[in-house]
Amino acid sequence: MPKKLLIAEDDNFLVKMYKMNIEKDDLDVEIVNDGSSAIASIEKSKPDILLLDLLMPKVDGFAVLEHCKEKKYKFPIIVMSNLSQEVDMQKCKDLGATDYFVKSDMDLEELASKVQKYL
Amino acid sequence: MFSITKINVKLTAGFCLAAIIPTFLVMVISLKQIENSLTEANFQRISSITTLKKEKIELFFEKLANDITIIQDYTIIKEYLPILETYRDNPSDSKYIEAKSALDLQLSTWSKTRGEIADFILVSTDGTILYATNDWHAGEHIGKPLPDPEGLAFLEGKKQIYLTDVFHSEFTSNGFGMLVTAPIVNANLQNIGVIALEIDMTPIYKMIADHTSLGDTGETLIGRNEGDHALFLNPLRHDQKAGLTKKAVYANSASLPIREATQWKAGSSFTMDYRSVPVLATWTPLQLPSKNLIWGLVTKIDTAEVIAPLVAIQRTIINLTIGFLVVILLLSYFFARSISMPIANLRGAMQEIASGSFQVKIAVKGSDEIADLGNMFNMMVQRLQSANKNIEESTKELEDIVQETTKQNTNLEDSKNATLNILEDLKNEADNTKKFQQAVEGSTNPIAITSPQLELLYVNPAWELATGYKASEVIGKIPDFLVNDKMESEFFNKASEWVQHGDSYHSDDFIFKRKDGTTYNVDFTMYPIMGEEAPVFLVNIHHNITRRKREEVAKSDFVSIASHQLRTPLTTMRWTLEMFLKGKAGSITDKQKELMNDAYQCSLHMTETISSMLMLSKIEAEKLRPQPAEVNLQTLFEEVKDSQKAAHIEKKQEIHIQCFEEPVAYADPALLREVIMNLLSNAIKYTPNGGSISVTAKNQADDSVLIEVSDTGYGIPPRQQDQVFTKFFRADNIVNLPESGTGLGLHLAYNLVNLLQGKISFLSKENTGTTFSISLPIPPTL
Repeated sequence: MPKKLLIAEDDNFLVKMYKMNIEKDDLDVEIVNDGSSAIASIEKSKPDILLLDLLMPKVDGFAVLEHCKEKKYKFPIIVMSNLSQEVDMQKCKDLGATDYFVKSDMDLEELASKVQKYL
Repeated sequence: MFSITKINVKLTAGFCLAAIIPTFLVMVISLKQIENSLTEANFQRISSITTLKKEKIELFFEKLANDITIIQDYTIIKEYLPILETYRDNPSDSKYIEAKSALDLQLSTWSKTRGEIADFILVSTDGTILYATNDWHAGEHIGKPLPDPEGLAFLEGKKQIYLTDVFHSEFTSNGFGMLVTAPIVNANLQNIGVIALEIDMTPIYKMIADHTSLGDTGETLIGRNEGDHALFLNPLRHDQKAGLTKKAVYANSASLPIREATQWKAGSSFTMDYRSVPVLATWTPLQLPSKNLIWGLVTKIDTAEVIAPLVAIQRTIINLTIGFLVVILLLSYFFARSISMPIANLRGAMQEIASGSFQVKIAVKGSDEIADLGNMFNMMVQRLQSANKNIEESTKELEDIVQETTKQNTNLEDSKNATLNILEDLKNEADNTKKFQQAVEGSTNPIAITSPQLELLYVNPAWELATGYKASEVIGKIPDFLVNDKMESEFFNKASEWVQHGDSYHSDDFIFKRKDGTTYNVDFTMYPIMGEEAPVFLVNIHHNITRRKREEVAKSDFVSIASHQLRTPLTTMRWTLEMFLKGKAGSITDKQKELMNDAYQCSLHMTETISSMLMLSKIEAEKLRPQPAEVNLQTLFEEVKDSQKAAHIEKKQEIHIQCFEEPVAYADPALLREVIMNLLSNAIKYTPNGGSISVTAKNQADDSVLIEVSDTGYGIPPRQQDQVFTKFFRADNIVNLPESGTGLGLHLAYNLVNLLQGKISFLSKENTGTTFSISLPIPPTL
């Protein structure tokens, strides 16, 4: 069974990048554009890994993290945001994020290999 | 005098005894009654909780048994279970898939609507699991036997509806689970398998652990009979780890309630619980649909908590009785004295007459027989006296009176003058007070004056306007209604304690709540007006600083969001260019590649600029507060070097790291990293290919730490050396190099080192190299 990768990202340009670089045969990639759709998708079927943006419409990434923490889900959650402040990173760690990447500081290739590591 | 005291004491003691004995009796009787009604009420209360929870638990299991009876007849199961068994070794067969999805559709939906059903399992005739609704569970268990520790779930479930005992399960929210099993029979009455529901005990345990009406110590617990002891099935209020681990040995007298309950008896009593604490307990056995489950339920509450009100009442009664006795004692004493005193006076007067003096008169009070005796005695003495009076005495008295009158006239004049003076003073004083009052009343700052115990004595109109409370509503009250709950304790403890010794208290962290419930941030000051030693009044002044606070937050949010919004499009540009450069977007010419690489470098440069500006704006807004900790410099340097790997390898530069032994500094790790990162990145940029760079840490004689970053680079021209740390500075000799720079790195490093309370300086020679030195402050002695 292919593994499910859920990407929650509201910027369509970035979504396109992810699709072009992460999509593979053995990976079932699902993309949602806001936090409430992310929660709905998680509840429908648990992903094997979640790539999560923080600033999103309706429900933000912090709320998604809170939801997963409350439900004690164990799948890895990689936060990918352009919020670069220590306080935001600490907050995500406290809410159970597995890793935190500042998008603008990362090469795309580097990112793809990091995601691969958690699969 | 001796005999009078005796009469007095006798009478007083008599009255006291007459009052004490009934008081004492009434006290003892009423206390006993209160105790009886208290324990009675508590027994009734916990007994009704016991009954209620027993019914709920029994209903829960009855419902499960009913559910599984209905499920036994599901045709979908009868139809598809044999298919699953037939094709169990070939799950990719279309028939298997069809069967599984048909079951999923009905059973998953059903079990998901029921919070207490952790999983819905179908078991084959050989006892191995064929199907489970929970995917996670399915992955673990398909092909294996049911996970019940006794191993009876399948064997018994083949015959009839069977409930296992509670066991530890990793598939339930609280770690406690049960299995309910039942046979599935086809149209020919052949057994084709077993249904197993895995029960999540969370909802039922939650109901059991509900301590409503059970005070601070009471609880409900359940246990099961295990021969010579009972095993507690749920986590206990005073021992959260007791579920399925703690035993109550029947031979132990403290196990009485759970022993009786698990031996089919109900009852209630004063007894001991598992902590050997005296408790009131009621207990009852549970009637469950599977005969193997011998469970009992106990509800109990600490006796100490139950009789706590009694102790309080007792104390009040004792206090009242003592007060009452003092009053009785005083009354009896005065009453006794009203009898004994006249007798004593009479005796004294008679003694005087006996010695020849007639100047005797007894004070007579009241109109009783003793008073009559006194009056008659006085009359007798008066007659004796008048016979002996002479005129000279009367004349002398008259002279005295005249003299006295003259004297009184002089005194009258003096006191008139004195009164006028006092009136004058009072008028002045009143004028001053009035001025002061006008100043306070007219002030636009909210001012309140309180007693040292914080009771409001005065509030000015500005205070009324700010808080929405009228003076008449609040005078005499403690203004804790102004603070939010969480602030309350801080407010009282800090502010009022602080000012007891004459210091004033100031804080801008309070949030006040108006009468209408809205809140505002205040800058709050409390000044004590001191008496001899302690304050007499406290003057409290506050300003509304909501706007200022809001602006502070808005400013810091704005910078952080703006930085985020700039980075997001940059990310797309960077990644797009990266795809071109790595050939992932089709082939491009070398010229195009070169230009795209330039654009790529620029995007990196811009990201760096945004980071530096964000950090600078935080420093300028004084938002960065260093949090010093022990930092291992060797590790820090290695990490920074590693992050710059691509750049220095490309330029074929050597980077040497050298530290003193156990190189530990005391500074904010993130800020120090930023400083070293900026210095090293500069050194790499402004040192030609093949150059060498060193990062060293030395321990100074005074225990301070000296960090140096040296390069063999272009150096800084002497005429520009005084501008090195200014914002956007770029040296003349490097502006034409291909290296891009923000001009912010050194400015940022300078400001960060200042924040870390260290010093930064440098030595540089053009075309030879530059050394930046940072000295970090001496760590505090721990």
